Amino acid sequence: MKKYLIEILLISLITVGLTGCYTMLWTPDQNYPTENTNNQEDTFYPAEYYGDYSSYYATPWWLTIAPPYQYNSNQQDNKNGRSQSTTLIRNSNGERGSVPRTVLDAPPPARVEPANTTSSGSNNSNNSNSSNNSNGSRVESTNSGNNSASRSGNSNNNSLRNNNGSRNTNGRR
Amino acid sequence: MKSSHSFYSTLILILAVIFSGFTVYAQNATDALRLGEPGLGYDARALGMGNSYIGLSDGAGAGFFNPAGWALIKSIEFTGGLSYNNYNNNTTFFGNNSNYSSSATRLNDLSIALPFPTLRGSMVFAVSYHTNKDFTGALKFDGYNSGTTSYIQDLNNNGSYIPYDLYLTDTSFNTAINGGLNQSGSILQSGAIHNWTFSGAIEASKNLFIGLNLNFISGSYNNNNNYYEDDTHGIYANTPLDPGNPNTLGFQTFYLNRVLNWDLSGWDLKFGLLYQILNKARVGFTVQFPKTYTVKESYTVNGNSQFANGFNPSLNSSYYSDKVKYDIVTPYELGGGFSYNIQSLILSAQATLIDYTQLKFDNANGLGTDYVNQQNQYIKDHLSSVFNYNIGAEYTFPLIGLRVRAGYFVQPSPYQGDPFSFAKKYVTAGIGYLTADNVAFDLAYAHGSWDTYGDNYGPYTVNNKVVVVSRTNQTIKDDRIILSITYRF
Repeated sequence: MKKYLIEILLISLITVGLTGCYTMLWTPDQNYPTENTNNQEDTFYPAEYYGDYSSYYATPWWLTIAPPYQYNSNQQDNKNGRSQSTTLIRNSNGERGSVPRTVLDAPPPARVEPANTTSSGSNNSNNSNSSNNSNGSRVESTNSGNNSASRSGNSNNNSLRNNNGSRNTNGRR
Repeated sequence: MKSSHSFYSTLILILAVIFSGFTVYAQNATDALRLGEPGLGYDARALGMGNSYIGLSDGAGAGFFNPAGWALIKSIEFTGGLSYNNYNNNTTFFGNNSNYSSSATRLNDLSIALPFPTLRGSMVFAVSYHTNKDFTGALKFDGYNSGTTSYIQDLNNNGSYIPYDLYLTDTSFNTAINGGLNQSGSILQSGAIHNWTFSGAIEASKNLFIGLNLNFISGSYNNNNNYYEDDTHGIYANTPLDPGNPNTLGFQTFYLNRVLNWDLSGWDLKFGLLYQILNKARVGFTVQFPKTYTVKESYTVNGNSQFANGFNPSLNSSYYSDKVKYDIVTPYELGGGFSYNIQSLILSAQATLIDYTQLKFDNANGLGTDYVNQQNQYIKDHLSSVFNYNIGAEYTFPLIGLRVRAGYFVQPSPYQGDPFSFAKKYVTAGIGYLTADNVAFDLAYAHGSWDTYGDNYGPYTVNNKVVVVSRTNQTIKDDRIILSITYRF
């Protein structure tokens, strides 16, 4: 048996050694394979000529099931605030607001309508410097204001955004 | 007189045991070939395509044909199969025709393949239990041998004490039998080789697949041989076979029953490689490493003779029965095949080289070393290398999920000088149907035919010329049906 095992081992090593290892197994710390990672066009049984046999042979089973939950380190950092960047912001010098606010790259909020709704106020409205926008126009920016503004910024009367589909009202329920 | 006969019998048997001279050996090249010749496999799709599958192998048949084919499976696959075969033997013996058949139905395949999720390439592991060889066989013959030979004489001349024990000789081991007997008999064979196969395959380079089958073998074989010689012409009605014993007057029948039982175990490895070319063709190569079968053999002999006055001596079975253990090592098998895809039509062909001179008995326990060497020498001198070849085709009707298949394959006789009529030739056909996108039914039918012969004893060499004395000329028809169901998800 040893003799044959050695022969098998040699053949396998030569075969793989000459060609390298082409196959890459998916592991849970990698993005789940998708149709893009599995070339569906690369099939011996094209659907044109083999009908349902094409998917019978060509479709990997792992594409037919829901991808398993994957650990995403970026999301985790933002949620629990334990990433290094968050730590720097909070503890830069012990005082809130002493560090320039980072620029957020966020999509614009939804159009505001109707115009005359009011809000009971929000503790998140301090990032707006728009005027008392009561005509339903788009809120252009959440970042152009003076980031060094103090808590008093929350007292403005721009409550529309909080009641009408803005990020704050939809995103933190 | 009988007591004297028994005394001599016992004395001679003791001497025979000491010198190991009386054993009726059962092991010969035919036994080695029984294990050495490849079976027909278990895969319905493959059989429908004439077992031309080394260059295709993208299903459970990879466990028998080309292990690299496992890597082409992308879904978890369960396969189960049933087989039926009917073996029919039409025998001509001294001008008389006899027909005998035997059949068997068995579960021949259970397998599961598990492909691993990959970002690129393929890796598949599989386990299967399958029956790749069926020993079902039958033979019946009946004819009057007008010649001057008989099995009684043959045994007596070769030092067996069976004729003596059955009062077919005198106390000096001379027999009055000189041919002219009706010879008849039957042989029924059964059993199969089962395999537990553990497989792994991987895409080593783009479109290049390699695989390995590690196979653990179990199985059994049973051969029940009944042989009769009858004085149907009354030639010995007035001749006492032992002149000193009046009971031996009026010889009528000599009967011998030999039962051979094998308990088989073993292992083997098969390496396969498959390359897919531009989604249009596949080329495959396989190396079947020698299979080592361990044979635990039980050989039982019973017999009796019958005389006109009712005298009916029988053999003491324990004197002639035997239990031995030995290995049979089969030769390498090198296979190559390809398949070509023309729209909905797949054509495939393959050839396998088997050097039967490498068959051998080994590790014999209970057999004489000289005997084993003699048999191995016989194998080298009388067997040869052969090319088995297979062709097949499959056409898919894409709109209805139906496939039709046809094939043809030839396994030439391993014996040197045998004509083409002695080659095993199979014509095959099959259909497949896919339902619910993931359940496939496959049905295959194969019809095989070939000629062969067997000698009850002899042949003899007289003046450097081989003389056949009691030969059954046989025409075999072998019909097989395999039904398999495959579920992929």
